Amino acid sequence: MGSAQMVDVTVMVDDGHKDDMPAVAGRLKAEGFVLDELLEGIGVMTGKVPATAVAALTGVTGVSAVEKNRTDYRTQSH
Amino acid sequence: MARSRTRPASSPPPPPAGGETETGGDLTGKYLVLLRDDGVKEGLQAIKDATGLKEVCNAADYGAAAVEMTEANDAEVFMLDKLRVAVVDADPTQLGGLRSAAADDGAILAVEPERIMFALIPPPDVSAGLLPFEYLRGYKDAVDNLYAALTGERANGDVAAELAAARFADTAQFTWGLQATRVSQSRFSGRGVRVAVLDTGFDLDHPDFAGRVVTSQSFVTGQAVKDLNGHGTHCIGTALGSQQTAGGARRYGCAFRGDVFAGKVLSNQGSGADSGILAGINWAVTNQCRVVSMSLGAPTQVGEPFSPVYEAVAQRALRSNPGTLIVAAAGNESSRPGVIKPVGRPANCPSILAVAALDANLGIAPFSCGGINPSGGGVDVAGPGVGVFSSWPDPALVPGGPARYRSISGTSMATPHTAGIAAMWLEARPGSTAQALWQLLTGNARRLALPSRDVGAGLVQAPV
Repeated sequence: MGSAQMVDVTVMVDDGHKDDMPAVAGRLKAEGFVLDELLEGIGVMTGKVPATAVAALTGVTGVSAVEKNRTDYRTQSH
Repeated sequence: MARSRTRPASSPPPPPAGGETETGGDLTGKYLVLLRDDGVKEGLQAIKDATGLKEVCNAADYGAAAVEMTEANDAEVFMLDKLRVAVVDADPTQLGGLRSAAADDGAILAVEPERIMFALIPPPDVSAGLLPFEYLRGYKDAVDNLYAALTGERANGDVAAELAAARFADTAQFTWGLQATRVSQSRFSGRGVRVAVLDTGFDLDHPDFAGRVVTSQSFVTGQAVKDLNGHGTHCIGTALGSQQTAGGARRYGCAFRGDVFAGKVLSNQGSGADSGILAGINWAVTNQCRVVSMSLGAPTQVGEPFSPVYEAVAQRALRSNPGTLIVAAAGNESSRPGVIKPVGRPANCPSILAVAALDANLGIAPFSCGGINPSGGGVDVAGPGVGVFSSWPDPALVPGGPARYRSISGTSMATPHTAGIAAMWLEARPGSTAQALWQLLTGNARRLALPSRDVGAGLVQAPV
């Protein structure tokens, strides 16, 4: 049982489960997801998951997309 | 799922259910459907399948001379075989079907609202019952532009010829950008419209904002809203700055009676992550902000698809009640004329309004990204983005900076012009949905002699 490196992810909840996000969060937890924030206004969860489990999250009922957290956003001025 | 084709640069998302386009006559309410060269029959069937429409009027049936105008107008589908384009009278549901079909690898290449370029052509003589050649030529121009949007080639010269280049300069009264966008002539102020600017925060004590109601929150761990960068204060100034500045400087703000929502999603160092940006959008939507301005982005590679997360978020925001339009900077990675980089993330999402930057001669800014990605990443409109004068934090916050004002450049600067003008449109057309607002911005944009790849529908214009 080696502990895989945790990565930050963004999870999109599909329209059919947007009003039942805690239940989706519960199913994600079973896959190793650790919830940081529940953004109910837009149907998104942010959190962490073992790097090896990212792909598994996309198969969770109620999840429409999973992306790794990008941190390279910048102001767009000179 | 990711779409496989480029959305034409000026194409808005589907209009609201049951709603009409609100563009002052710039859109007809019908749609142009572009078909593959070798797929006219197959395309017509795909249109029927996607929409359930059956009444087809085919220009080929009328020979070379003319088409019965009344029949062409009444037909649900008016087919122009030679141009490989169909004019379809689609309702929002049918439009959705067409767009889905366009996303598949079939005979339908693109769908675009029938738009103003036809109004530049003398209207057909309906009383004579004929569809003149000039009218058909208008469709051909439209097809050329659709191709240009799909391939990134230069837009058709007939459209480009509408307007000559203009020159603007800052005056004692107004920035050049407020003049170029007609904000300086407008009677609207975005009164009561909530506009969220998600950026590096805000100088909450800036004297030009004295007496304004400002709602603010930081989504950057360990940093207060206070803007120690300057970029956020500059962008908020452009979108929402006051009509009369405290020290007599020229006016630089668009929606001077809009409600300021300052969300800090970028650090004082000017960088940020999905987690903070999405939390900021959630905050703005939950607070019923009608417009979200994001002068931020991450570079994309050629061929990189848009983010399904941001696209779904933007669609939900558009559909929410009362509806939120997200406006974002196209990105600054280009070095024109030699290098044109693709629109950045998340502006490359089809349901986020991507804003390019223009200079004071209404030329494309050398750094401004273009709609070159075949996966949704078009430019939608352009705004003033070179030498833009606006508010800057107290020098005590950002040492070394000039007091209270600064002129800087970027698609970052074009974006809050568009957001502030969006708020002005919402005041001018109260009750507009977010999708209708999208159409107001693109449909009323000033056409430019530049490719839609670079400027989308053109220079954003305020209601006057």
